[in-house]
Amino acid sequence: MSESDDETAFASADEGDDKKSKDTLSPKSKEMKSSETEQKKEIEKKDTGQKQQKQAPKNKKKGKGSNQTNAKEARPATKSSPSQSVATSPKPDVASSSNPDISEAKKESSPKPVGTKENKDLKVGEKTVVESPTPEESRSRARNSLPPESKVDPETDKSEKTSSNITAQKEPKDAGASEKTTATQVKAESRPNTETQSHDVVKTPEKQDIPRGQVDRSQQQEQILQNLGTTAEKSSRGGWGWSSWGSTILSAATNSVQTFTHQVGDGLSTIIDSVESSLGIPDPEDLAKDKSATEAGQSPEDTTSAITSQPEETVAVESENVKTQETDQTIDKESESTQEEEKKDKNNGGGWFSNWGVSDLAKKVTDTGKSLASKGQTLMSEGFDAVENLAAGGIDVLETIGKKTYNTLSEHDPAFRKTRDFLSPKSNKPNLSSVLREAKDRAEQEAEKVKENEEAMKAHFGTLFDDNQGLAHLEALEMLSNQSEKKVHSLLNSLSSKDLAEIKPLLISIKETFSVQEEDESAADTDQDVSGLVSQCLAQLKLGTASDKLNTVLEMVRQWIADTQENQEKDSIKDVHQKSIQALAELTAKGVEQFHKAGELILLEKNKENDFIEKSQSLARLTSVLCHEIGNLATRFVACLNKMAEKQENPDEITQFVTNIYLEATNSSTYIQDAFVLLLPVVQHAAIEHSVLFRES
Amino acid sequence: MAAGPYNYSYIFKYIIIGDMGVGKSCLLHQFTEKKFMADCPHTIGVEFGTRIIEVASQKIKLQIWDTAGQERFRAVTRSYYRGAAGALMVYDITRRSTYNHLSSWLTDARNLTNPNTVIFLIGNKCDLDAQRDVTYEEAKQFAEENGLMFLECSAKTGENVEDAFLDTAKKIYQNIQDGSLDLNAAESGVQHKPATPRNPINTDQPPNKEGCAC
Repeated sequence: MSESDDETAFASADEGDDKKSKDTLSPKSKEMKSSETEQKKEIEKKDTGQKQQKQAPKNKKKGKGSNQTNAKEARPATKSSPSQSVATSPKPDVASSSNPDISEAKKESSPKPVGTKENKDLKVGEKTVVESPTPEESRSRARNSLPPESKVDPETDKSEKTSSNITAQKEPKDAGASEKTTATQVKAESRPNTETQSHDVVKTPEKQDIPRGQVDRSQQQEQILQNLGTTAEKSSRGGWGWSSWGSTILSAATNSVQTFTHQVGDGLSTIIDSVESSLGIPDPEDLAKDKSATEAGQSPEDTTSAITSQPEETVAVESENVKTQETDQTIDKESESTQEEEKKDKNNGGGWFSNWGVSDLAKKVTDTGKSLASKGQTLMSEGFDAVENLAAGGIDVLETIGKKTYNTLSEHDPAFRKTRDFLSPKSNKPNLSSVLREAKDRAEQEAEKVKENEEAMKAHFGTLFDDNQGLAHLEALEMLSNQSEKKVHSLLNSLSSKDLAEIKPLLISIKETFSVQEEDESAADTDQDVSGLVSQCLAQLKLGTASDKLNTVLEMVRQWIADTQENQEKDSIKDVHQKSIQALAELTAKGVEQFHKAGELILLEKNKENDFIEKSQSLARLTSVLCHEIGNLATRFVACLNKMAEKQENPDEITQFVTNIYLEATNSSTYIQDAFVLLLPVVQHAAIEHSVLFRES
Repeated sequence: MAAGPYNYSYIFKYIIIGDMGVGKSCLLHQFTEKKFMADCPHTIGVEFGTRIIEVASQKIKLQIWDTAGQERFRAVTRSYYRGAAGALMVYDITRRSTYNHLSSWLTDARNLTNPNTVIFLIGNKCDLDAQRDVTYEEAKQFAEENGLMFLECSAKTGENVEDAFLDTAKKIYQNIQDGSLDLNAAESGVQHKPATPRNPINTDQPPNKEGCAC
C-alpha cells in the first residue's frame, strides 16, 4: 500500500468518524450522567468494595451483576482522578498508563499467548495516543465497521496493525512525532491536535465530568478524591520537579489517552448501536466471548485497584506483567522487553525518564497500574453497559441478529444453504431421538393396552363363554340341529302321506312347546330351588345324564354371591363385576352344553316309551329356569355393586358395570334360548325316527 | 379354566376320531393339560379342548373336537366332521381291531371333511410295547399308501403327543401359506382372527354364530 493512498483513505475515514463519534456520543454522555449519579451511592462502597475484590475475586465471575457493581464502583476513581490530576503531574502517568489499559483490554479479547502481539498493540495505542487521536478514531471506527468478530478475533490484531502502520506512516507528516522526537516537539504537535479532538470532535470526559463532579460531589467523594490526590501526589512527587513542558506534555498525553479511552468506549457503544440498527451483527458467541473476556479481565484490575490503597506495596502486589516490566526497566532500560508497559515507557519518555532514577519510575509504574485499573474499569463498565443494553434489547435484537447473520452468511456463501441442509436435515425427517421416543411411547401404550385387554378379558363375557367351551357346544349343537333338520325334511319326504298325517300332530305339538317361550316369569322370581328344578327337568328328559355340571356351576355361583356379600370391604367394584360376568358366562356355557348333550342323547335314545312332548316341555322348563336364574344372579350381583357404591366416593362409577352385567345377562339368556330352539329339529328328528322305527317293529 | 386374551391369529379345528377306548380323550387331555387321565369316562357325543400353539411365530388356537368312539354315537359324531382342518385318526397298537377299523374312519374323514384336511394317523399306547399287536411298519405303510402323516404316541407318557398335534398344525399352516387351503372357503376349518380382540365391554353381539360352519 502506498503512503498517499493510505492517507486519503485515512482522511476520509477521519471525516466520517468525526460525525460518527458525535452521533454516538450523545447517548453516551447521558449514560455517563446516570452513572455519575450512581457513583454517589456506590462510592460509599468503594473502599470496602475494593477490599472485597481483593479478598474474593471469585465472586466477580459469579454473575454479571457483581461485575457491574465493581465496574461502577471503580468508575468514580477513573473520573475523579483525571479531573484532579489535570493540573498535577500524576496526570502524565495516568496518560501513559492508559496505554497498558487499552492494550490490556485488547489482550482480553486476543488469545492468551500475546507476547509480540502485545508489543504491537502497545505501539499502536501508544503512538496514537501521543501523536494523534485520529488513528484511534479510525481504529474504533474500524471496529465499528468491521464485522463484530474482529473485536475478538486475530483480525483485531490485523486491523490494529494496520492502524499502527497508518500511524507510522503518518508520523512524518505530523512533523516528527516519532519516538525520537523531543518532548517539546511532541507537545507542540500533539497537544493542539488532541485539544482539537477533545474540544471539537469528541467531548472528552473532562469537559463534562469535572464541573459536574465538583458540583455533585459529596463529602465522602471529596475525601476519597483527596486521598487519591494525595496518593497521586506522593507517588509522583518527583514529577513536580519537572519542567513545565513535562507536565504539559503529559497532561496532553492524558487528554489524548482519555479521548482514546472514551473513544474506545464510544466504539463499544457504537458497536452496540450498530448492532441494534442491524449494521454489523456480532455473533452471540462473540458477545459471550466478549463478556467472558471482560470478566476475565477483571481480576488483574482488581489487583491494581487494590494497589490504589497501598501504593508503596504496589510493586510487590502488582501483577506479574507489571512486575516484570518494572524489573526490566530498572535493570536494563535498553533491553528489548516483550512487555507493553516497558515499551510504552520507552517510547513515551523512556529516554528522559531514565534521568529521573529508578524510584520515581517505580512510583510512576504504580500509578500506571492504578490508572490502568481505573481506566480498565471504566472501559469494563462501558462494555457492561453495552452488553446490558444489548440484553435490554431482548429477544428482538437476538432474533434480528440471528436473521441478519443468517442472511449475511447465505448471501456471501451460496453453498451455505447446502451445508445447512446437509448438517440439519429437513424438519419433516424425524431424528433418531424422536423416533426412539415415539417407539418407546408406542411400546408403553401397547403394553398398557395388552394389560388392559387382559384385564378386560377377565370380565369379557364372550371370551369367558368361549373358554368354558360354550361356543364350541353351541356350534356343535348347531351342526347337530342342521343335520337333524335336513334329516327331518328327507324323512318327511320319504314318508307316506298316511304316516305323515300320523306324525304331523306330534311334530306340531313339539313345535308349539318350543315356541312357548314367555312363561309367567313372576312365578319363578322367588328364590327358587334352581338346582332341584334343573335336576327335575333333566330327570324328566330321562337321558341318563347327570346334571352334575350344571348344578356344580349353580352352586359355585351362589357361593360367589354369598362371598361377595360378606367381603364387600375386600372386593373392589371391578372384582365383583368380573365375578358376575364370569358366573354368567360359566352358567351359560354349562347350560348350552347341557342342551347339546340332551340333543345328542335324544337322538340316540331308542326307547319305545319315549315321550317327545314331555321331553320338549322339560327342555322348555329348563330353559325358563336357567333364564330366571341368570336374571336372578344379575340382580344379586348388581345389588352387591349398589351396596358397595353407597360407600364409594363416586357412585356413578358403577353405572357402567351395572349396565354391563344386565347386558351380559340378556346375552346369556339369549344363548340359552338359542340352544333350546336349536333342539327343535333334533327332537323332531328323533320323534320321526322313533315313530318310523317302532311302527315298523 | 383361566381366561385368556384373544391373542391368536388363527383358529384351527381338529377332530379326533377312532374306535372306543383307543385313548382319544386321553390324548387330548395329555395335549391340553399335559396330564394323563387314568380312568377316562366314555365321551358323550363330543367334548372339547383348546390350546394356543405357535407355528412360524403365529399364534394359533387349536379347537379340538374329541368325539365319542362308541358306535351308537357314530351318527351324531359324523355331523361334527365338517369344517375340520385336521383330523387325528387314532388306533390302539395293542388292539388289532382298532387298526382294522381305520379304513372305515378314514372313509368318514375323507367324505365328511374338505379335501385339504390334514389327516394324521396316531398309534396310541406305544408305552405298551410288550402288548403290541400292530407293528410300526405296517401302520407306516398304511399311512404312506393313504397319504397320511403318522406317529406312534403314548397318552400315558406323553411321548410324541405334542409332535402329533404340532405337526398337523404345521402342515395346515403350510397349506395356508402355499395357497392350497383357501381361508375364505367354507369349512376350511381355519378362522383367521385379527390379533386385536373385540372391544371388551358392551359390544358383545348376542348369540355368537360366527363359528357356525353351515
